[in-house]
Amino acid sequence: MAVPQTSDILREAIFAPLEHGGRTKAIFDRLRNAVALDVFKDGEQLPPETELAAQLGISPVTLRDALGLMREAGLMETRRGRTGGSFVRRDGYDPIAHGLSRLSEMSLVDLRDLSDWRISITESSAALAAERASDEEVSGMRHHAQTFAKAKDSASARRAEGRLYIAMAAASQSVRLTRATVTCVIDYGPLLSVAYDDPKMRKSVTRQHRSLIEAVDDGDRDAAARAVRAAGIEVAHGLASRAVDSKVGGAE
Amino acid sequence: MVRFADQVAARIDAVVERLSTVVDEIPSSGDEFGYFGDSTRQLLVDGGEDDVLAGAGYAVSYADRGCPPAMVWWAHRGDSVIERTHSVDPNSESFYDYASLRWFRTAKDVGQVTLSGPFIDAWGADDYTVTLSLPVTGPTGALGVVAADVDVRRFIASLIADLRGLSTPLALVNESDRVVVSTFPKLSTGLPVRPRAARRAAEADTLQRFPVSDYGWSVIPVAG
Repeated sequence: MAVPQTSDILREAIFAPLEHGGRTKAIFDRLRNAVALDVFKDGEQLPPETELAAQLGISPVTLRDALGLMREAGLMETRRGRTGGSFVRRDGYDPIAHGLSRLSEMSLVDLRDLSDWRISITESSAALAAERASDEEVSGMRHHAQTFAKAKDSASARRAEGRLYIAMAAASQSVRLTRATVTCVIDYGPLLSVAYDDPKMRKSVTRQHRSLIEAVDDGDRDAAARAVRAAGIEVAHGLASRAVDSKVGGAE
Repeated sequence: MVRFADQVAARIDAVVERLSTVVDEIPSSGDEFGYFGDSTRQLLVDGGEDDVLAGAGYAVSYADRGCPPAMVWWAHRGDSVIERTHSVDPNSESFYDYASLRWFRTAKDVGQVTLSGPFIDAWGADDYTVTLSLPVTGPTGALGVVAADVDVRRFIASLIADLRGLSTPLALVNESDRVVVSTFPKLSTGLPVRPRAARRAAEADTLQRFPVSDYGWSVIPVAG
């Protein structure tokens, strides 16, 4: 029987072959994202190294180095012997540490570019959802926005917002926007763990979400796009400030 | 229009009939999860390569039973039937919260055959989906929901074939006036008949409706 498969886009995002350079690090990022997103269950054994390397289009040496980084990050353990192999340790995952390391590696241009992309996708989804969402979809979005408002930590805030934006993209009736949003939740997620660690940021974004839901409910596409854009810009600026601080060795 | 409504109902009935065979027998032993896992897989295997179904499976109700979310799902992939896993950990980013979706919630709450879609099933099928679902009830109450996804592209193509030769502009819409298929190029699958902003104003002019059996869908005339 074939191997069970998770969400296809998730698989594609994780297992697509890499084009160029920085491969060890890139593979490490992919694998770490896979753990973060629960593609691998706790204790799950990875496929044999040669097989996984072939799937990712990299040499076994590169993969071994990436697995070494996974072990150092406490996300994997290697057991020897007949029942040996590489096993995932989900409890070793620290979302904020993950986000901070991503932030310190990114240039400000890359950060701005990724943020622009996220804002563009959410703006388009919001505008289309305002035209096309059913009442049921609006109440689903409202539920996620309320979960965000009640969130007491960054992990639950990040999760609630991811669900809100995916629900909004689905309500926009665009399969492509929905897939792009899922990819965006994967790529931006670690950064959001850092951004939403700040309760003031959560509070401010909560207000924007409220305007967003109202605008979608009223069928006002411009107001919906404006609200979601304001939330995205606030997060992007917050992250840029954090990145500058960490680069000049300031706060933290 | 009545004839088209009846044709649509017949296509849906055929799927419901297949799905019902799974629910007809409920195992007396405790392992209903294993039982419905096997029988939904068999349902797809029996459908063969040109199956109208894209996938099928079983999910248990967890919100009120104190058990963790659990779901088993099968899908056609080429000429084989593969298992699709879903993230059932509510704390995971990719949690497939099926209990909040119509195909599960309404089937369980109303206790009837439920038709859902067209909707984009993020973290599930990851694509436009039309789902038929049936609640499974045991001696002690609701157990879970058996469901099947129809292959939307194939389903819509067959409906378009049914529409051929009809001269009146019409749309087949779901329970929230979302287009399943129409003869009007601007109203493609998934779009609401009217944008949200125009919805309230239009409530006054009650549309003429031809219901598709009691599935909640209807055929309506559209102004070209």
